[in-house]
This record gives sequence, structure tokens and C-alpha cells, in this order.
Amino acid sequence: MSAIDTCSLCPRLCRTACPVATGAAREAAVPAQIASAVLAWRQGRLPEEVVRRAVTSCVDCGACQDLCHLHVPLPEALSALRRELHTAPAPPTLTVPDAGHTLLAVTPREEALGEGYRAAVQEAVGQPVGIWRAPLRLGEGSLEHAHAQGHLDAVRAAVAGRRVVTSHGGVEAVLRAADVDVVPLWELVGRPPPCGCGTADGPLSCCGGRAPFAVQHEGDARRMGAYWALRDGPRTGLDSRCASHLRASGVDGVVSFAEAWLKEVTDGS
Amino acid sequence: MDAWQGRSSPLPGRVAWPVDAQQVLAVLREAQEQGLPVVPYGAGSGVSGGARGVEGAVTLDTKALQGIGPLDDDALTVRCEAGVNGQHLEDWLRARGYTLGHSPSSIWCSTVGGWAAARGAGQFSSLYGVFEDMVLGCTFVSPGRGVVHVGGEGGEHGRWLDQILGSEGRLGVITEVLLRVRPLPARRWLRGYRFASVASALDAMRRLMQAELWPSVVRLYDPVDTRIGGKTRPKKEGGQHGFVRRWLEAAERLPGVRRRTLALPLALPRLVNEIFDGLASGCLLVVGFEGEPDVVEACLPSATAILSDAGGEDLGEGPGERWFKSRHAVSFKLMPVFERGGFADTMEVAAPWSRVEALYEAVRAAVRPYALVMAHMSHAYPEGSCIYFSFAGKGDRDVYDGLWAAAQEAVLAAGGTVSHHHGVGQLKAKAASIELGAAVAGFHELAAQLDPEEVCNPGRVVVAVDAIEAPAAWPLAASDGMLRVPVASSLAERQALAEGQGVELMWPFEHTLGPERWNRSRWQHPYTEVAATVGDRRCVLGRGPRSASGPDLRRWLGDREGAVAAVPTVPLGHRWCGRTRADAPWARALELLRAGLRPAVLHVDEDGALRVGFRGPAAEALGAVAAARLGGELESVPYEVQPLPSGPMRWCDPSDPRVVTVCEQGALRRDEEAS
Repeated sequence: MSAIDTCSLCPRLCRTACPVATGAAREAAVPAQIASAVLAWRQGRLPEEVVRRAVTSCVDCGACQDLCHLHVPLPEALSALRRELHTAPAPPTLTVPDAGHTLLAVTPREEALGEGYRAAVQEAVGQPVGIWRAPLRLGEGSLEHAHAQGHLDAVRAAVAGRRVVTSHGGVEAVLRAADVDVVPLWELVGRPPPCGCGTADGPLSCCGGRAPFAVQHEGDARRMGAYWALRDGPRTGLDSRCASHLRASGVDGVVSFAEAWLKEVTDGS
Repeated sequence: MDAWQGRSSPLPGRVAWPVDAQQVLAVLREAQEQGLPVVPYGAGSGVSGGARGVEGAVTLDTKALQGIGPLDDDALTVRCEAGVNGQHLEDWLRARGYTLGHSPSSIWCSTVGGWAAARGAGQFSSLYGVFEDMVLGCTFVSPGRGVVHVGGEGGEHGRWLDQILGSEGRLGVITEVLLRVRPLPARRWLRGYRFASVASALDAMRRLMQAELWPSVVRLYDPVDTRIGGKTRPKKEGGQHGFVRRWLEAAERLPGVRRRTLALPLALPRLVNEIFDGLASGCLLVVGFEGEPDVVEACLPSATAILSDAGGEDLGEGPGERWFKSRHAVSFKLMPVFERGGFADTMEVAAPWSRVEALYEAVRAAVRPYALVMAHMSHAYPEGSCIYFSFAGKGDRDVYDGLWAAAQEAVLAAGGTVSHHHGVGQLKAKAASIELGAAVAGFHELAAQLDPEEVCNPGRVVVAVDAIEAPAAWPLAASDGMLRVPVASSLAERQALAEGQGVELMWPFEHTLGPERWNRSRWQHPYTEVAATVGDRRCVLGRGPRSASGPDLRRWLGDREGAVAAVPTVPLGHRWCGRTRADAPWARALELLRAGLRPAVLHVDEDGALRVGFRGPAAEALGAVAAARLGGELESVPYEVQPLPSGPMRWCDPSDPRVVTVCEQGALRRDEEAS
């Protein structure tokens, strides 16, 4: 029996675990309800457009599968549906600086940290470091699409033979998938990994940062950020991806790992 | 079942997603103008069809009502909006050192508003109460009266609360509730006991619940449920199952086999029931205590002595830990039955102790021709118990409906309530309306004010049935721990009646029906059953110790001429009482309540001394805990019943000279304006 069929019969206990359903506070985002929508579509009772939108609500964090007593692999099924129902976005245009073997991929906010940030990373690396303003939406979501390989080829070609330091989980995920030599900042400076969305139970990897979700459910992303802030209070030391989403959601007191580390280094010196 | 058997559910015409009470009101008023029914919807976990869609109607999704707080550390209350997921509220409270104490198996997939609307109950209700015991007030929106703050301090129309809770959207929409909270328990004790029979285990449960020890969990699994669940064995780690289960799983990988493995035996329910009767032996009772360590430790010797004396075999901590770890799993267990071509459902009913066993047998007999049936007694009270039946069968909607009709008829005939905590919805509307009988007039009185055009969730909870006169009140046995008294009787008259029966009133309220719910502690239930004549029809409400058969109309019925109420009593026996002089005595009294103590006497004498008294086998031990917490010896004094104030009261500072009593949320003084 498929995950879609099984979840359609379930009383939807996964709603408590799903950060999107919680943050969005919408029935349509509950994992098992998405499964029901898919079933209804297959039975001809819902148009494809509804399902196409529904499956993009899932950010593939796996929380529903973890909570489920039967461990039904619904995220995998929804991922397959996204590949089936969505066309790949165009590969990004990537401009990479010529100088330096090592690149520091920065978000716009990190770029504003200026020369101090680059210098601190350079000292940690022990060799010249070039700043690469990597597009935030390198296309993590595109990894699921049938045409992902072409997308990854573009990334690989852009930074071929270089090493990239990043504090952004999304950028890191794409570079890894493209077989690029990538080092997360926390690893470079010998710290434990930032805790994703900062729950007590550990990383969720579910910031909602993938393009389809963010584009179609901006309001949901705002609510999700507000939810986590309400539940867990102010946060520091976050992955840059999580930090930027919480800021975009209007959450105060957010400090990324890169910012916290840089302040520590600067104050120490 | 409908979905699995290919029947589509009705689709709403539109979905509203209001973010505050004013938007809820706008939705209701617009629907009223357009003549559209409105179905409030939280998380849709209800099993009785209360939130089931209506074709073309407006579904009002409450999940955008997401606010939690403020948390009042002093009054031990929290405000929470209706759309908050239950587990998220509990997580939020736990992060701050508190718990709601409400833990239904649906906690992951239900909302706070749904709990209130359907009068839910959690797995620790023996200690914390059912959900309505936790609700001090609410914000309520109705087409007829707009946004109203009901009950609680500063609220109005307090007596509406009895009917709003349990109205399942028929009167309007709950948008926010004010809830009691408790500090997180520092000690939890769980243990399993094996009993030879349901009868002997029920006797142990009753004795435990009437000993004023206030356990958190008292769950009895009947022999079939004990056998099928393998509940007395430790849970296997890593999801490894036994040989039979693994063989079954392997066989089900063959094409076409999966849908037959369960469907075939479930098509022969009589035979399967007989087989399981033959296999079953003994039943499991899970007992738990939790709270402050000194309070728990004071209760345990008496509790374990009662269980052993009643014939219980101590199985250790394993069964309790197993239950605790898998307590949300039941909802997942139903799904494989549907998946394999059968149907599964549950039904929770309740009755006073003297009728529990007959109710259990009557429902089993009614269901057995249709399905495999097992049961556990999931919620226990001093006055009786809930029975939670689980059944699995095979067949179409006619078979399923036939099962429910037979089961509910059996419940009513056996003198039980048809819903303990699953609400009424559509599934039980007819049976619940029969149970409410002539008292539905009270509901219609309020509905005429709040929803005069019947916009809100029509066809649920209360439906038209033939005019029925309730049968003569069932006899109460001594084991029920209740005494029938005229509602109009004075405390002295009630005490004299009790004395004549060799018992003491459990809660000696000045007025039989006591104060309203937010002006007493959650465990102080002044009455269970209320009987009166409405028009020319006899009406008896409160067939079970607790009920979710629609709104609570007992207080309304209690106002009728000649009304009679069954009030809880305790047998005479162990008593302990002490007093001490303390600064700020009412504040110290509050400290005792907040430590989890539930004294029978908690009073400040005229000379300013604090008087504390306990009943039951642990009276002395609990007295010692109180003494230690008050910082020294209590002078032992004769036990003397102190009347509990009734009538309109207001919360006030414990140092206020007008304080007359305390409840968990603070000190209380009489409300001179209201009276």
C-alpha cells in the first residue's frame, strides 16, 4: 500500500510535528491532508493545480515520518510528486571572483559584515579568501526536479576546483550535491553545528527556504517564523538560512552563527 | 470508512479562516444573511462527526486563532486561542515549567477549541479532571449576541459556560479559553497489576478512587484487550515483532493477500469473539500517581495496600511504562484495519460503579454479532467509571450503523451515558438527545438567544426525538458513593441525610449545587446526577460520573421545582485534622493546594489559625506532608466538617480580610454586588 493511500486514512497526527502546517495554520499544509488531496486528485475529484500547490508545502524535513508510529515515508512520496508535477527552474547565473583558491560564500547581510568577516575567515583558513556573493536561491528546491543534473552542472562549472566556505545551509546542500569542496563555517572554526530552527530536539532543516514554498506561501513563511519565535523565544547562533527567514518573518533578536562568531572573534582581539 | 469504501465526503462551499473574534463574528453574520450553515473546524480529530462538512456550507477553520498567553504564574492560568494544537500548548507550557494535565490520545491532532467544544477528557483525568474542569472562562462568538467573554474573572453570563462547553458549535464559536495549569510533576509512578477478573479489578478501582488518594491514572484492560495488546509484556525494542507477526507481514507481501488477512476473520465476529474469550485470562490494571514527591510518597503505601488487598498481582513498572510510551498509538492502530478491508471504531460510555459491570456486559453482547469487541476502563472517578470499547469488523455502512444503533440502545437501557469524552456530533445525536430528554428545553432557551436562526453547525448534538420521559431514577448502591438529596435542602439537612446513611458529604457546599466552576477547585464536583420534572416529563441527567453527551444542563435542571441531586459522599473512617497559627494563613492554605494536596478541610478559624484536615487511609501521612510544608508541627485537633462557601464569589488577594475560602486559582470572597 502506498504512503499516499495509508496517510489518507490516518487521523492526521502528523499535524503536530509539521512545522509548515503549524506555522501556516492551514489544513491544506498538514502532511496527511496533502496525501488526501493527492488521492482525491487521482480519483478525479480535485484539479492538478491544487495538488501541485499542495505538494510544495512540504519542505522535506521528515518530522512527520519521525512522529508517525508506522513511519510512513510520506516525504519521499511527496518529493516524487514534486518531481513529477513541477518543471525545473532555470539554472542560476553564477559569477565567481577570480582571486583565491578558497571562496567565502556570503548572503547580502553577511556581505554587510565587510572586510572584517572576510579577514576572520581568511585567518581561520590560513590562506587568501575571496568573497563570493552566492545567490541565496542557488536552487536547493531544484534538486528534486527531473532536470536537477543540469542545474548542478552549472554550479559545478562555476566553482570548479575551488573550495567554498559558507554559513548557509541551503548553499551548502547544493554545493555538496554538485560535488563541490564545501566547508561549513562552523566546521571550519571547530564549533558544533547550529541547530537549524533551534528546537530543543535538534535540527529540523525546514526553514521553508526553497523557492516553490517561499514564492507560493509567503504568508505561510511569515507565520511559520512567528510560530517558532513564539514557541522558543529569541535565538542566536542560527544557520544563516534560518536566520534570514526568521528576520523576513519579522522575528526580533535573531543572530546568525556567522554574526555571533565574528563578534566573538572581534571582541576577543 | 466512507473514504476507504469509495464514498466521498460532503465538500463545503467555502472555507473561512478568521484570525480573531471579530472576523469570526463577521463570518457568522454573513452566513446568517445568506442562509448558509457554518461548521466550525479545528483539527478534525473528532470521531463523532461534529466537524464533518456540510455540502455547500461555510467551514470555519479556527486554526488561525493561534495565540498562547499570557501565563499567569500567580493564578496558575493561561489564555489560549481556540486553534492552537493541543501538543503545542503542552510544549509551550512545559517549556515554562507547567502542564495543562490534559493528555487525550488525540493531543497531536486536536485543538484546544475542539477540546472545549466537545468536553474532552485526557488520560490523566483522575488527577487533573476532564477538560471542562480546566476551563475557567472563554471568549464566545454567536450570531445573536456577538463577542462575549463568558465566565472567569470579569466575564459575564457565567452560567452559559456549562452549555457552551459541549455545544460542539451549535451555539456559536469558542475563540479563546482561560485555563487552569499545574506545575510540572516532579515525580511520576506507574505500575501494572494483574487481576483475575473484570469484577475484582473494578472493585479495586472503586476502592482506590474512593480513598481520596487522587491517582493520575487508573486504567483497566479487559481480558481480551489485555491479551490482544500483549500489555503485560515489555515492549520490544527496535520495532521487532514476534514470529506470528513477522510471518503475517511476509505473507501480506503476496499480491492480493493483504486485504484478506484481517477481513476474513472479521467477517466472522461471533466466532472470533468466542476464540478470544477462550484465549483471554486475567486483566491488567495500570495505576499511576504523579505530582510533588512528598505527596506521591504519602499516598503510595495506602494505594498499593488497597490493590493488593483487592487481589491484584503486582507486575512491576513494565506495563505502566509500556502504556505511557505508547499512549498516543491507538489512533495509528485503527488504520491498518481499514487498510486490510475492515472497519474499526471506539465508543466510550460511563456509569456509576454499581452499573459499570452490567453496562460492560450489555454493550459487549450488543456488539459481538457485528464485530470483535474489547474494552478498557480508561477514566475512573469516585462515583464511577468510563468504559472505552474498541471494535473491529467487516461490512458496509449498514453493518456499521447497525452496530452503533444496537450499542447505543444497550447503553441507554443499562443506565449509562452514551458519551464520556468523544462528544456527540452526528453519530450520537439521537441517543444523546434521548439521554438529555426534556432538559433540551434548557438548550433551546439559550440557543434562541445565541443562534436564533440556527446557522451554527445544525444537525449536531441535539436533534428532534420523540418526547421521552426518563425512566425512574436508577437505584444507587452504597458502592456508588452518592446520596440523593433535594437541591433545595440546607447543608444541615443534607448532612443529616448523609449521617443516616453512615457517610459524610464529600464537599459540604452551603448550596447543593455549589459555586460555579471557576470558583472552586477542579476536583470539587458538588453533584453528578440531577433529576427534575420539566413540563410534565420526568428528566434525569448525569447517568455517568462525567459525560460529554452534549452541553451540561444539570445546573439548569437543578433550578426546576423539586429537583433532586446525587451528591458525592465518603464513608466514615480515617480522619486527621490539625491546626497551626501562621502568618497570612490563607496564603499558606493556597500553598498547600498548589503542592497538590487536596484537603477535605482547609479553613481559617476565627482566631486566625489555619485548620487542615484529610480523610481516607492516607489521612495521617498527608497531614504530615502538610505539617512539613507549613514548617512545623500541626496541633492535632478533632476532625470537624467546615462548610464550603457557595453562591457568587470573586477572586481576591489572600490577605483581603473578606476571604472566605481558596481554590487552586486563588483566594475567594463573596460577591456582595451579585448576591
